[in-house]
Amino acid sequence: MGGSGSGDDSQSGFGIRNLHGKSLNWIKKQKPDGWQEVPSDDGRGWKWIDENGVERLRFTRPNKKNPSNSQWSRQANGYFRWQNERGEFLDVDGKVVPRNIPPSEFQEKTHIVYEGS
Amino acid sequence: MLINNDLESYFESEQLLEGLLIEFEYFADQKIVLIISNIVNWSLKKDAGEFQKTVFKGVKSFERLFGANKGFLENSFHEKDYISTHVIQDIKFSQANGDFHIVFYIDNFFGGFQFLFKDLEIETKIGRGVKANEQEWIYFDVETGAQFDFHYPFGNLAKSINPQPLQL
Repeated sequence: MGGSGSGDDSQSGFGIRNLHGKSLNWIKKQKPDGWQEVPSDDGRGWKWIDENGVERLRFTRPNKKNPSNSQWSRQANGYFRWQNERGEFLDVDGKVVPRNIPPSEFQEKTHIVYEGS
Repeated sequence: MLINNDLESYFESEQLLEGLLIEFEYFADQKIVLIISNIVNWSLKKDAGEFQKTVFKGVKSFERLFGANKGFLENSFHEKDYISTHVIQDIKFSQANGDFHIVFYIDNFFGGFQFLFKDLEIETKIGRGVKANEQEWIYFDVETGAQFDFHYPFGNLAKSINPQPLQL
């Protein structure tokens, strides 16, 4: 686990090239030196902040609400939101997702479902 | 639509969370905070999106909570002016002494803002996107068929709420 896979043109700017099937344990070991890991502000996960104060990776745990009744049910395993050093959002392959594409597509691509175990 | 009757339920529904922040404006003279955002709506087709205009009225005690970037303007933000993309990560709503209090947290770079308010009005619009060229999308209101600008889904509200004096 952890190879570049389909993310060879990843724009993440650090060791993680894509998030396909990556476990939380593996991901946590990839945090670059000098970045901070802090709890996310809604208390549902954690995020990494780079040297310039940009949030680079945020993980949100599954909502405590009944997933079947929740608008977040498709993220029942938790999800990531991933950004490059310029604060642009990335998809699961580490590619920039333009924010002017249709909002549903933007949300689907930038809420990266946690596929690890 | 004025939704003062059940604000607690509205904010508990977390409708605004994770939505893309398109515009934020604080008009001190008019006591208005305006937020334009995309709402996460998983029930829509991929080529669509829900846009929301959220208008807080009777605003007082406004405070900008700065993040890592102090370069963002204190009372105004529009996504088209920046490369970085920002989403609403957390909202804390409470009620005290006849006022409603709200804290918006955007992200570490942007920070957030908090204020007291009296009334809340929301308006939503579902738009369908059609690709015009490699980088541009054209949006149409699914209800009326009218074309609109992604960056100004409800028109240029900042201009209409707070018109600038004419430059001669």
